[in-house]
Amino acid sequence: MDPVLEMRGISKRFPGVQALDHVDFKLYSGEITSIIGQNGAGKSTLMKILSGNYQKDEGTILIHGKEVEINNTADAARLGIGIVYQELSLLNNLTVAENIFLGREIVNGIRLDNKKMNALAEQYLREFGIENIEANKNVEIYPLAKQQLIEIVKVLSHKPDILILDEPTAALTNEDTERLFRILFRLKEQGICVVFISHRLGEIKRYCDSGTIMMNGRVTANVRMEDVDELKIIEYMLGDSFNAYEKEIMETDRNAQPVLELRDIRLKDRLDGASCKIYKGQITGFVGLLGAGQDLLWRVAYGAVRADSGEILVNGKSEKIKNPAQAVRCGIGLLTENRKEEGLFAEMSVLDNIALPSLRFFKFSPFFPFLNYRRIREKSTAYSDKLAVKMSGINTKVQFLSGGNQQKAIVSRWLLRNLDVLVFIEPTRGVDVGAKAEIYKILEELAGEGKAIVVISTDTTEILQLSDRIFVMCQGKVSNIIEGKTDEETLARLIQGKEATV
Amino acid sequence: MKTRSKFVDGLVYRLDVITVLALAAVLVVLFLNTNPLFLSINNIYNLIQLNAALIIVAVGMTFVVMSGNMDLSGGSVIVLTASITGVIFRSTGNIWLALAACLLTAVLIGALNGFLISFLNINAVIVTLSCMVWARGLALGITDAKSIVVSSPVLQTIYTPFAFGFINISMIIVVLCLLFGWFLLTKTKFGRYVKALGENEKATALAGVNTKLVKWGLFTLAAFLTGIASIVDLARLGSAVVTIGDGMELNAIVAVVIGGNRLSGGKGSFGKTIAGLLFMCILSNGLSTMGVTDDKIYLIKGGIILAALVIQMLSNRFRLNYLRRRNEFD
Amino acid sequence: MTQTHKTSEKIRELLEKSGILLVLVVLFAAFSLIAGKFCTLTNISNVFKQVSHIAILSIGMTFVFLFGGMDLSAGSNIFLGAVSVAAMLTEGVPAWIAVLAAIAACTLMGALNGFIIEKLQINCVIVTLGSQLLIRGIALTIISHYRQWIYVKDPGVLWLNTGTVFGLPVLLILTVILYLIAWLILNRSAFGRRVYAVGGNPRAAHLCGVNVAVTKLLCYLISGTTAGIAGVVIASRLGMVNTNVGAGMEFDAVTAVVLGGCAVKGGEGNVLKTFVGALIVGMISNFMTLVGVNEHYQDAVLGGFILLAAVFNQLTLKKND
Repeated sequence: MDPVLEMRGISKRFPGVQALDHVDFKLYSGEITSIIGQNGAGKSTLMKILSGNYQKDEGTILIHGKEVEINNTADAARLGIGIVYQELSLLNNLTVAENIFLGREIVNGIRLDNKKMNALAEQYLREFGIENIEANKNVEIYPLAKQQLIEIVKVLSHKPDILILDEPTAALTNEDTERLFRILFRLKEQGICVVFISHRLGEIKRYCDSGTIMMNGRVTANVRMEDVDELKIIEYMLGDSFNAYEKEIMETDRNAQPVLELRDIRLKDRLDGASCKIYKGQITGFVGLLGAGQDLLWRVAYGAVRADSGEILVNGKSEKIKNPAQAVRCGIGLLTENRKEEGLFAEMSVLDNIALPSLRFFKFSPFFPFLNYRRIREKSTAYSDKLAVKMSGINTKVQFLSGGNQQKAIVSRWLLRNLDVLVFIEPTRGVDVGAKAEIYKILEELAGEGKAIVVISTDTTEILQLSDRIFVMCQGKVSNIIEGKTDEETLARLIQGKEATV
Repeated sequence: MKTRSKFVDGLVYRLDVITVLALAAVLVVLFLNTNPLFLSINNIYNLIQLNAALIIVAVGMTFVVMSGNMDLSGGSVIVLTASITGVIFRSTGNIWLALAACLLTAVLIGALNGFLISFLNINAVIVTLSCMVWARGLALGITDAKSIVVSSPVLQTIYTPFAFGFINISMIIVVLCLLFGWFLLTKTKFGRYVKALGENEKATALAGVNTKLVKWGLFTLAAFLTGIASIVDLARLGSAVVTIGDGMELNAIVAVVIGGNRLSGGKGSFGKTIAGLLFMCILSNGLSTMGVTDDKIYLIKGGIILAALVIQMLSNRFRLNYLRRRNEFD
Repeated sequence: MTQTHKTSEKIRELLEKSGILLVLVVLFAAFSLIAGKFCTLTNISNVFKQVSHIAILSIGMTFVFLFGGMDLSAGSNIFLGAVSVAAMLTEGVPAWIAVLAAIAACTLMGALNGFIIEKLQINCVIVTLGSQLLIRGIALTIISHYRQWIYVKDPGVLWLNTGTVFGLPVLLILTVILYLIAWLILNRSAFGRRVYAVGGNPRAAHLCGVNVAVTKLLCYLISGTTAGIAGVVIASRLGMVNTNVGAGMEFDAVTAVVLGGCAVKGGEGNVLKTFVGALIVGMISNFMTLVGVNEHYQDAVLGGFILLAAVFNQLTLKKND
């Protein structure tokens, strides 16, 4: 059988990273194919090239054996490629039908034919076996899982030949996932190619026909699901890196006072009584699937998200942390994965970016509250030099730095503020390989200096390489605490929710 | 019990409109104190007559606010178009030519503002604020800051009753504008895109909507309606006075917002605009019949508007929290 | 980064850094060539005096613009400042108390704006449009007790306008000092750096522990203070206060700020460039008066000029992907 879609020798380079390196990928009619790999393996980049969001540097794309060019999203739509993004693109103020038909409304003269659109939308919904969604109700009254289904129906109403779903189940319960797959099976019977991206190997194994496994921008294997088990898939995902590191594990001193303790943090539907203790001089890793709550827990601890209940103890003392300012005063610093939106002041200098939270310590005197910039510069430079931030000068605007150096600048920010606990959410996202190693080294040094470091990541390799202790989170709870050595396979299985105890 | 809670839910759901109507009622009571004839048929008739232009401008403003933007140029566009009408009428004596020039000018200004805002991506407040200044300057320049009498039978018929002794063309125009706006907003692609734009411009563009064109169109539309308002006001006053359209932009925005239309865009309806208009019309009409001096009018009007905004905001916050708790949305 | 990219980047930066000064110099040269009287010492000194209140008002507007806000009540607030100082002087209040009290009244109005906008979370444009009416109403109520016209006779206050120190007009010195203080606050104080941070990325600023609402509120307060100072200045310069004072001045200040290159979305701008912007506004007005342009057309030209400045800012803006 000839493939419906074939991608040959696709390469894509981003500054500092070879995101895709001569990737071959085939899709056959009537199959659900999954793309499997760790974060940064290149799955999303490949799909974004297919949907016209990115342009490839090299390679050819063939549809039904004919070469095509995909320069933008409109091209992709014309070629029958539909994509459901991770982030929903529904408009909350419009009804289900209005959302489905946005941009191609049916009109009767100049009048919108709402009746017909509603009827058609109802028909689509029924066609895919979706119940309890009314076409003439606003989308915002439906929970996230249903909105996801609406989004899928919206894409399907374009009648695509190829449907790409980018982590559609991250927010879904098992029941909803099953419902989604019933729809996908029906599409499969109609001869539509479905590409399914997910981190949940269980789902992939159960529902998909074939899989393309990627690692570091390369395809490591093409498998038929009936021929492999989850273990084998994990092996392909991790490649030679399997069990490759040796880290000196820092033993936990049970008698020491934890510098920070979170007790029974709850947040409706998202955090279900998560607790943990953090000690000085250690790197503590938090790992889990997307939406398991590991990053949210720490946003709560930092006062960026308000929890429903729970207690935060700093050095054994209960503290009410309602906003980041209080968290900083308690000695907690947070570095998020969204550097651009949540960390950097792009238009300001590196110096300002480093010094902002510490400014009040640099006043000449209480009576002359202006800032001693000479001292600020000395201190900031000391930290940026220590972390080897590469820049043409400390007055450079931070937006001209590379991703890794921006990250180091933000680390310098919290070092200057002299905090006890530093929380890193995905510390190496968008950072090239060289800088990654440097950042790992910095984290280990900081822990060595007695800081408590928390690393939150979906990348198991990273977690294993860095952590002294690992908290595995699952559905808003800490499901496992790993002290001492473990291997990547065990960790990967724990994250999937297997083997509740080790 | 069940029906009762449903009744309460319904009340809270409409709390934004109820709040503004309650505020309007409070105003009526206050004005009845100083002017017992405030609720007389005659005065109510006046209320509608005096505020015809405001209602028409508010129709356009509803579109602008719905798209998440703001237009501060309304008052100045009125004074400029009225002045141009006056100047052309004075020199040619042809009222139709003058009125055509009035509408054309309004559309051109709207097209220019819309172009700068949507295609050059310049902040709408800056663009319309500067338009507010240059259009007024131009208007005062061409008239030398003097009123121009426009005594034309065509304009006079606008305010002459032709049926039942009180219905005149100005009312017909107001009703037509409201119907036109309502139809455009709820029944056409354009209206739907305006709503979508106000909610999320990027997602709307991703769905294949030419958002820049829609934005440009809605500023042009708003200016066109302002041109019509200018003609109606010109007919009412009989001359292009320099104070024509004064404060129109503020009155229109406040009417739209106080009615409960979301200022950041995406949510609202003409019903809310009409409720807000009722409040503003009562306010301006009541103040003028109270017989207080100019300085007091500024003071009272500014104070009442700010207080009403705060009250509306607080009631809306309560409303949204209530609906969220009930897992419903407006 | 490629070589051509670097060159265009450099040109852009140069334009960004000194484009406004270039405009000032070119306009100055052009005006001097066209109108002989323009480039005389008396006239230049006049320009400085005429522009002083706008320049001072623009300081507060710069603070508000830097975090991405807008204050349309500034013109009315100037009026309030001028009326209150003049009225108090007429009532025999000592000059320094009158001046301080007037500035305090305007600061209070700024704080009121800030409170409604930031604590109650209502859009800044609509709130300041409303408070524009309210403040003007308060001032009109005061001035109506004096038949709409108050003379300022206090020699101390008038000295602001007529006096010189080391041969330089007091108003110029006052303006320059205020700008230096503003520069110090914005660039050498924790508060000032927070203003930039809040304007550049409010979410990141919040996550850095900055109290965003308080920072913004203080900016509105400062906008009120500078309006009060500008009100005293204009009362001194005109020697009287009538109901025309302050009308439309918020717009002149916005023009100066936009000319000075402040980004409307906040986070970018330099208060010293605002001064240059204010000077340009003053020069254009002065020049148009010299060559006999009708005052109404002057407004029209200035209104058009801000559009040019905004378009220019937009075109030199780096495309952020």
